[in-house]
Amino acid sequence: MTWNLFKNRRHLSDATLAEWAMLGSMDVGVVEDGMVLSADAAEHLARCEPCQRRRDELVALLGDVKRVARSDADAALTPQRLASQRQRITRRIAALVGSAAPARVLRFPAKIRSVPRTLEQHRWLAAAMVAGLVVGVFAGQMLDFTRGDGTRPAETIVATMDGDAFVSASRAVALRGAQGLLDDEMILTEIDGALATEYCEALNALDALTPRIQEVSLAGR
Amino acid sequence: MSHKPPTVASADTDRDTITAGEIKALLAKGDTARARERFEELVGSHQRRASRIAYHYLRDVAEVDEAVQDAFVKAFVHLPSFRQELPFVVWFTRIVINGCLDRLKAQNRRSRWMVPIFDSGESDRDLAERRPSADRTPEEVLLARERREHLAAAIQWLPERQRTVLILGVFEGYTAREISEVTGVNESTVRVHQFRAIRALRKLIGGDRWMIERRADRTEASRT
Ligand SMILES: [Zn+2]
Repeated sequence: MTWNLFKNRRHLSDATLAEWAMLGSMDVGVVEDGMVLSADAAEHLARCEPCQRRRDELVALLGDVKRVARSDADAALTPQRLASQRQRITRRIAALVGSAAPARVLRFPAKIRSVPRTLEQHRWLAAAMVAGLVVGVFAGQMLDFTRGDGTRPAETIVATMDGDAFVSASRAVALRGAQGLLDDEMILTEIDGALATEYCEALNALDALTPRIQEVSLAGR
Repeated sequence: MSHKPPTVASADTDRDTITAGEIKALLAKGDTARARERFEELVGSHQRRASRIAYHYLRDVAEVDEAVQDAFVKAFVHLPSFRQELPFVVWFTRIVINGCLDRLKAQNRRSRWMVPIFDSGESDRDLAERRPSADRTPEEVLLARERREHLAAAIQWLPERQRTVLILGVFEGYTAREISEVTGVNESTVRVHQFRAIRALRKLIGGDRWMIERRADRTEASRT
């Protein structure tokens, strides 16, 4: 009994008060299973004014923080936005299970109007086609000359850089150009992965000394 | 008096857990049309909360929109593996948060490698907030906005676990047990994170000053 009185004289810790504050307006006498709050703490709080004040201040602070956070979110998430979001969810799930409303099909005109062509128009058309072919072949040749400086096809880059630390990153970039299949996210993941390899230690040290684009642009604002 | 501690689980969320179980059974029977219809009920009751949670993490409405859509689609796809021992709200919150954290990681990666595009144009919301109304002076509008931004910045400063515990526990009313089920972290560790989050937040927002400003911020006070 004496020990209990002595123990109850000590003010509650901030952690205990935070625990109480999280319970909001709950009765002081309630101690739930598994809570760190002891009956002793409850008893102390019921009798100690300074601890009650500390608890009330914390409850008020958390209540206000909650209100501000909620009003911030509610102002951003307008009913219109939520309504259109809901429509999109419905559509995506419908598409997923294959019961989406059939896409509107544009009907072709029943009969394609034939354009009467004269012999003169036919000649112009043939000449334009030949000119296009010549330009195409010439442009192709020009591109082949410029490839000497590094703009080789994707497969070549991958083959020549194999065994290099950069291989996965360059492969991701090269394949992107070649196939257009990888999205930005996968590429960045691969680059991060490549940079994490042991071959890149020296480069990472250099990288750490290099200012980031974002830092530079923020500093310049 | 025997009050229950505040909790996110309620009669509504219990009903949602049963609904989720029924949808799972419909999917098992191959009745996808009916399953889809019933899933609408779950979307209706969890969309707002999910969007709010996502907003506290992402703070970009377009990202929030995508994250929440993805979460619902994912939930529908994975409903066959849903176990009813867990409340649906807990299971779904886990999906939402994992999606948000993935997005944040992707954003960090992108910001390391790409030039940020600064939007010079103001959003509708910014403009609406700047406009003083009959019951709000320009100073009050500015103060309310500053407090929101201050709080948002403080939340972003918190370590990931403390942030999650704060968003779920303080903003959304999840109990430590529910947070433990959402995050997979044991309950006593959740309590430790909770305390640390509150302590850090208090420091970051300057607890006393925050409450003084609250008195000056009529707009916030009048919303209670
Ligand atoms: Zn005390």
